[in-house]
Amino acid sequence: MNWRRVLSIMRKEWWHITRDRASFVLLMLSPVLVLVTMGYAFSVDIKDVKIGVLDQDLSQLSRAYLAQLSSSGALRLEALPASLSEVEQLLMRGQVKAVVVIPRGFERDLKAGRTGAVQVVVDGTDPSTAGHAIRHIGSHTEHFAAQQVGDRLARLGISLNRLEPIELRLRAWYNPSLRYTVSMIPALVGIVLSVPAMAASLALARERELGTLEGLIATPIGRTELIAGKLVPYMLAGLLSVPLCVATAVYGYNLDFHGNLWLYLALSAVFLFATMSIALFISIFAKSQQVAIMASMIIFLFSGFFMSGLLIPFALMGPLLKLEAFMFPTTHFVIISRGIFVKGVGLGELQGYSIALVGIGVVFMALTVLMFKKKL
Amino acid sequence: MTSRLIIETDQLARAFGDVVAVDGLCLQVRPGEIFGLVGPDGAGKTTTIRLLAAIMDPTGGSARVAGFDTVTEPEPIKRRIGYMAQRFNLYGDLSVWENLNFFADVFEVAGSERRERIERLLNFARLTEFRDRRAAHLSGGMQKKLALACTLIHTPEIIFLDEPTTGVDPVSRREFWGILTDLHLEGITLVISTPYMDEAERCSRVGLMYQGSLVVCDTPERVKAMTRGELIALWPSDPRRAKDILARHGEVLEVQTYGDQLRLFVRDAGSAMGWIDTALAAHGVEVLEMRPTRPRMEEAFISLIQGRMASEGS
Ligand SMILES: Nc1ncnc2c1ncn2[C@@H]1O[C@H](COP(=O)(O)OP(=O)(O)OP(=O)(O)O)[C@@H](O)[C@H]1O
Ligand SMILES: [Mg+2]
Repeated sequence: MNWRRVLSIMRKEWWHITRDRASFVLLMLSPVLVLVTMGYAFSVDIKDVKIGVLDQDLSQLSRAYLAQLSSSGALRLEALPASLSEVEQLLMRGQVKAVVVIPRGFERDLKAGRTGAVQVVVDGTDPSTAGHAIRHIGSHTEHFAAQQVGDRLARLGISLNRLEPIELRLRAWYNPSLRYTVSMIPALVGIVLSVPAMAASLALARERELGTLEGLIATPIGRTELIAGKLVPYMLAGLLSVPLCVATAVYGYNLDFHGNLWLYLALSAVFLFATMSIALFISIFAKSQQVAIMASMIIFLFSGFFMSGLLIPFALMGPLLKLEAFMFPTTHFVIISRGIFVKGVGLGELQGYSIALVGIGVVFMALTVLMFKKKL
Repeated sequence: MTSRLIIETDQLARAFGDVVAVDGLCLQVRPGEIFGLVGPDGAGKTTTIRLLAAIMDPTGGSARVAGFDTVTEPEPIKRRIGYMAQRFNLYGDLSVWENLNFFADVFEVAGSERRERIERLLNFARLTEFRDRRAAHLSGGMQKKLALACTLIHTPEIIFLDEPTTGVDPVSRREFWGILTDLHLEGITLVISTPYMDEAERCSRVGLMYQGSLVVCDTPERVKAMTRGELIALWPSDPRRAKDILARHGEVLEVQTYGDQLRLFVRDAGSAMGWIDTALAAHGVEVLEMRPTRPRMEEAFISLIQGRMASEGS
């Protein structure tokens, strides 16, 4: 290993990266751009779901129930349709996502001690919003029902100071309001930081396409020297966009950064090392830049989304998919990123993931050096 | 006697699937020679040079360059050779100066030696005033000279040049050959492929490649002497008809056309000068000019290739 040679390759590679101004700016900014667009798409927190109530009973109790439904910010009473056909129109136009139908005789049944039935119609084309509406309508209804039971018992002379024997007190740590953005944006940083690796996957493929690789392999240059000389500048370029991504998350999405920024940078460097090693590994097999970019897109974007635990929870993955996810650097970095960003954890808690990243990087680096032949 | 040879191949072969690019090549190059590889497109010149530069493995046979086997000992070879590929293969976004320095680093040329050598090469290639220009913005001829300068940075023992002057204007070509001649006089071995016959004539020896193997391999003088019969240059009023008429004549061995000129290989030039006139006049074709001449590489080349093609056809 001749360090002067490695430095010379690094410098040359850095020139390739930076001299083409447009691509350099794009390389720096693309993680931020992807973060902004994807972050926006992923982070709309569901609140204020519009509902309608068709009150066919028009009684005192039905109005009390109605008041209960609109007592929190989760649901917004948007319309009071008068007939079923109006209900259909509201749902068709998407003006409301759910309609509660209080049937005639609601008050009478309840007062007589019979079970009162309430119907909920939801717009099934948007399951996540519908689910949200069902959950909240359900909990309001339970609360209302418990009140009714209490009232009846009181009338019978039985008084209870607590109606619900067990009260479930939910406390979401680190993210008290369970905001989707708080968990999503730091995870997305993990995915967008693999964008620089896609550029690195072009490194050898471009030289092959331009014919410069032919000249290079006819020299005494070492394989390790060449690969190391290519890796470092791309890592450096990738590292420059880490602060940009963090700034976007903090200022653009109003997130708090709880951990140590230096630790975050250091582990980002480790993550970049792992992704760049995979990128260079792709690069030695790709005959053209097109092939390289396609392969790295599939690996880094597609797998980034579907295998890193971001969209599909690990609990749902089969053992084979889990193994694949484990070998994939984004999986570990998503956990690291969320951990440092949201929980403010230190290296101690993230040790395992960090070691996994180093391992992935070293293995692919070694494979790249071994499988790269100085032959055409 | 192997020590007297700087390059030696034994039944060297390289196939790409069904295409056999190099086919049982036996080549010998002596130290200090300018060895020319000539041959039509697709003859296998580039493949041969790549095999010798140890950047491609053969599918058959073996080659020794500077005493090392190209398959088992490629690295010592790479330290001793300079390779200039057919395609421009320097970094277009680096300046002339940066390209030279990059290759100096790659070949571990350092210190005062490096500075002197770069200055000398810039001078040599007449690129001194363009040292800060990006390689992509140089003219074709300057790019070729820069590529040559980069392959010379470590003073190699052997230089492989794959069509170094293709697409270069005649003045630059002349200059380029001036540089090559200087290198030759310094005792460096040059292996050069070229489509230009005038360049083939400047070589110590030429190997004529056809379909992956050598048809002949000798000095330009001897290659030219391999043509059959004597040569006559003829300018008739109607070259196409004249060619048809003369090709059927028993005394004529071969006819080659060069624009308006016909070049005839005949058994005896002296007597032919007499009968050609009358034979053509009988068909209403006039002789504008005619003279006996000596065969050039070009005639020899075409004649040998056509001979090879004819023997394959039969
Ligand atoms: N990498 C390759 N893959 C497949 N076929 C190849 C490859 N390289 C060369 N060939 C084939 O081998 C044959 C010889 O090619 P080569 O480039 O050596 O010829 P050449 O004499 O250099 O021709 P030219 O004068 O056009 O440069 C051609 O038929 C070519 O198509
Ligand atoms: Mg060629």
